[in-house]
Amino acid sequence: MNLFTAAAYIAIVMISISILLTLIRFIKGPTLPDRVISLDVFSANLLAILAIYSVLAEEKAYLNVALIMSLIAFVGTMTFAYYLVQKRNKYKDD
Amino acid sequence: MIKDIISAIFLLGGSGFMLIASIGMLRFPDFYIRNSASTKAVVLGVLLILLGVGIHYNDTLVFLEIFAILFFIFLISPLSAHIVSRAAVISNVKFWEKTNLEELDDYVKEIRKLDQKENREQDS
Repeated sequence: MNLFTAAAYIAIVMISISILLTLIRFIKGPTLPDRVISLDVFSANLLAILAIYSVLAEEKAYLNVALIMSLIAFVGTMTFAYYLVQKRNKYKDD
Repeated sequence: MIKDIISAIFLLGGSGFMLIASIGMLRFPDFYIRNSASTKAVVLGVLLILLGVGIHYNDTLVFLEIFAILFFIFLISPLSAHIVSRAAVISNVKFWEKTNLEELDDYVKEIRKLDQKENREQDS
């Protein structure tokens, strides 16, 4: 195990801890927007883990997966924001 | 060897920023403060980690892919933060009690007026 591999493993461990903290916020989050942004941070963490794992496995194709995942996370966040605004307009009298 | 050291430093710095971002997500008192903290730190962390990976591969095509990912993230992240926090303001998510809301009041009034106009148009 050389220096770079050790650094990559340490980085993966740190990002896993941060995924756990984000999940705690996702479970606790008092409102829906909290959960939406915690999902956003979650997907960014997954993207970083994919990038590091592509180095460890010597497989460049995982970077393509990371590219697609950043786009899909954007679509998910936009959909939730649109749903928030629409929900308020529809059930305003409640 | 030097390449390995540089990319290891980038990886560790990036994952440190990700960790700081999620600690901020957990500890800050308010949705809006959490949103600002997580957006900025996550963008910097992803930037550093992807640069570390690219330096390790040292290949033109990999750098092109990484610049595509970075372009999308730099385009997307401020946009989605703005849109989600605007939706939160519209749907009355509460602020922290110490936040200074003087300048926001006019904006909220404008939003309410626009809502009423839209509702009238939809009704008629």
